[in-house]
Amino acid sequence: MLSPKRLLRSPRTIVAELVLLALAGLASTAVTQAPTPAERGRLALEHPLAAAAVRLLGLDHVFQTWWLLCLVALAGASLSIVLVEQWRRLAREWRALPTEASFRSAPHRAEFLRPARGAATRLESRHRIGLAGSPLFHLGLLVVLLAGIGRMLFGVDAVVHLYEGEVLEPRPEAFGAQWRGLLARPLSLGVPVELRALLPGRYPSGQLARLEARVALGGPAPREEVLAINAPLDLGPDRLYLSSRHGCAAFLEIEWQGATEREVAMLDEAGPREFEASQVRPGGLRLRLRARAGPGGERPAELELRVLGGHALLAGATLRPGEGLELPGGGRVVLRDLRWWARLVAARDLSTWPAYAGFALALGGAILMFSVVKVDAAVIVRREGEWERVSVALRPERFSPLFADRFRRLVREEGGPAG
Amino acid sequence: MSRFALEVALHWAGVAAYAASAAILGNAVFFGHPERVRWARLAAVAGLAPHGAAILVRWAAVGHGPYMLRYEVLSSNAWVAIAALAVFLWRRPAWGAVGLVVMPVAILAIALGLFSSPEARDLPPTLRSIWLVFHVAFAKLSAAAFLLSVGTSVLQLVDWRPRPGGWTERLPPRDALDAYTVRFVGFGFVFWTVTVAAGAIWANQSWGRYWGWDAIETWSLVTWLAYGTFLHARLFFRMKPPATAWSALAAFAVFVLAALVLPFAMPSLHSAYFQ
Ligand code: HEM
Repeated sequence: MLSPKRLLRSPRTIVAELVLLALAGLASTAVTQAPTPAERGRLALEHPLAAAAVRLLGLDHVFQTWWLLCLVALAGASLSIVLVEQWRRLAREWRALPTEASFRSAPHRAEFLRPARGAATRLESRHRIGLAGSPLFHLGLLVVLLAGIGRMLFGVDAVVHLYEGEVLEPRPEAFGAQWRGLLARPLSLGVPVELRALLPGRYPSGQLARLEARVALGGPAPREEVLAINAPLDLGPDRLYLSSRHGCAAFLEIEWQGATEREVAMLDEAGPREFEASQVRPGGLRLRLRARAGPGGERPAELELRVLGGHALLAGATLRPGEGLELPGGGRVVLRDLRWWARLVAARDLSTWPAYAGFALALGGAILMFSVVKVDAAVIVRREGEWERVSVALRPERFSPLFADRFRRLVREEGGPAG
Repeated sequence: MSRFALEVALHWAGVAAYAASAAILGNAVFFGHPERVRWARLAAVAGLAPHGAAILVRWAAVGHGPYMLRYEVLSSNAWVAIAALAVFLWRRPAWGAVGLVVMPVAILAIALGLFSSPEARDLPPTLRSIWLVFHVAFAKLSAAAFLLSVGTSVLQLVDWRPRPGGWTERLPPRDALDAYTVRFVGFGFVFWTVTVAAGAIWANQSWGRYWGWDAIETWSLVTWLAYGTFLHARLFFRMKPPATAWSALAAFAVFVLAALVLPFAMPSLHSAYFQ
């Protein structure tokens, strides 16, 4: 029986690990991940066998399954064993100088006689650095894998929807949602962040062209910063991002059955420059809210409000801030203000730089592997009276057939037969 | 002439030169005129000029590079692949036969592009990033390198029974074809590594995470693993032609799905701009 180490190092195991990792990736795109109960029910009804396989293997949450975790652990173990072996071999081969004996099995060899030139035997090794390609590449992979584990354990992502003027307090609960690594502390930014203004710009087609946010950081003497798509803000160990998701926030005052409620309705983008929301009120009334940004993406100046009972339109009006609409059956909705809201994402991920270092190592290794080939060359000269017997040999580390031209050149340079 | 009519005319001018190049290559390979590969290369370069002009005209008009619509992607990928072929034939004139595979595939890609919707779209703000430039440029280079590997693989599968005087005698030696297949796959693999890494860095800059298992992200990884598996299997199991050729073609099929079919078909964060 193979020892665990030899099993993990065996070519079959390594290839199987790669194939299974690829299949896991495919499964995650072929099967809806985190399906709703309705989606799950539909699958069970329409494809009972597939549904059973999905349930058994957890294919609808591939990245949280125990088998994927085991597979990644196995691949990590194989990689570590191979790496130790590869670096040891590199150290050995780096120091090893070519000898005459080492050319006996060279793929390109020729022997010929030439008039004596008095030249000495030459053995050389070029582009040795190519040997480091595979070890560097696999080291990079291991670093990326470790960074990924770091992210899984300690990374945190959090999102919040803020409207203009609202402050994100430096408390974890201030975020709408957080996704934490297994050992990660909840994320809270070090300073309060106020969204002062959101500045969208639109193309003539109405599509979003740019989005920037002016934010104020800190308490009593705030510092203003600009946050934009693709230009996050560094806040110590955390980063704050502006996503492209944004909308119009309608500040409403609703008088209903003698009480007055204040609320902010968040209208989502429903089409270019169009924002919409729908709310169900006690008593079965439904409020449909719509607003339209200006041609350049300016903040909406008015809100279209419709009141529906079932499918019937009971009342409707276009309101500017300060204006109101009487509700059927008593009560009133007053629009107090229209502002922008934006979705901000905060992340703490100390694995980012290690991951980038891993990318760089893997890339450097891959470049070396395929574009720098170590080549040993030998010109072995033996005197035979007025003549010299010359053995020319070329031993490329790989892509040997592609060195045929170079070998012929070398033979010609040494006075051997052309062609 | 409308701008789009000009683009189409320039494309067809390019395609005409490419078709001429393919015909000359056919003549050179099948009828034993290796010196004519040079003419085929010049015809290909002559086609790159109007084809490149078509891409630039569109670029200037829509204000973004060729990476949003199927039309733009297919046309520019074909341009890069033909440019890579021209460079290869300049360095290795004896390898004209590779062009017999690459050129028709590139022409087919241009034609498919021309028959898909050319309606221009505005560039979403997330796409304004230097990482996008690396991501896209290296994806195109990968496509070119992988397509060249398809060329050498297909030649390996050609019927090789020795027929004295037959055209297959003039094909490059089989072991050299195999070595070039691996070399092109290797270059494509390096370029794809840059594509995926640049994509990850860009994702971190715009979405706050460098990897999120989005469908298209995942497929790009699967492609990378497919080529990685091919390289391992070849090395570990001393795979020989035609098994290497078939495996390289299978990996290319995964690449085509991941890079050229699924981004246009799958719901993904990437769908916003691949349409
Ligand atoms: C399970 C983890 C892995 C292990 C244990 C492993 C192991 C190995 C080993 C032992 C070699 C032979 C190198 C030599 O003899 O020095 C190799 C080569 C290679 N590996 Fe991996 N590898 C792993 C993952 C990967 C992955 C994920 C990729 C990329 C998708 C990859 C790409 C390569 C490449 C490109 C080569 C060179 C092939 C050639 O020389 O033609 N490896 N690997």
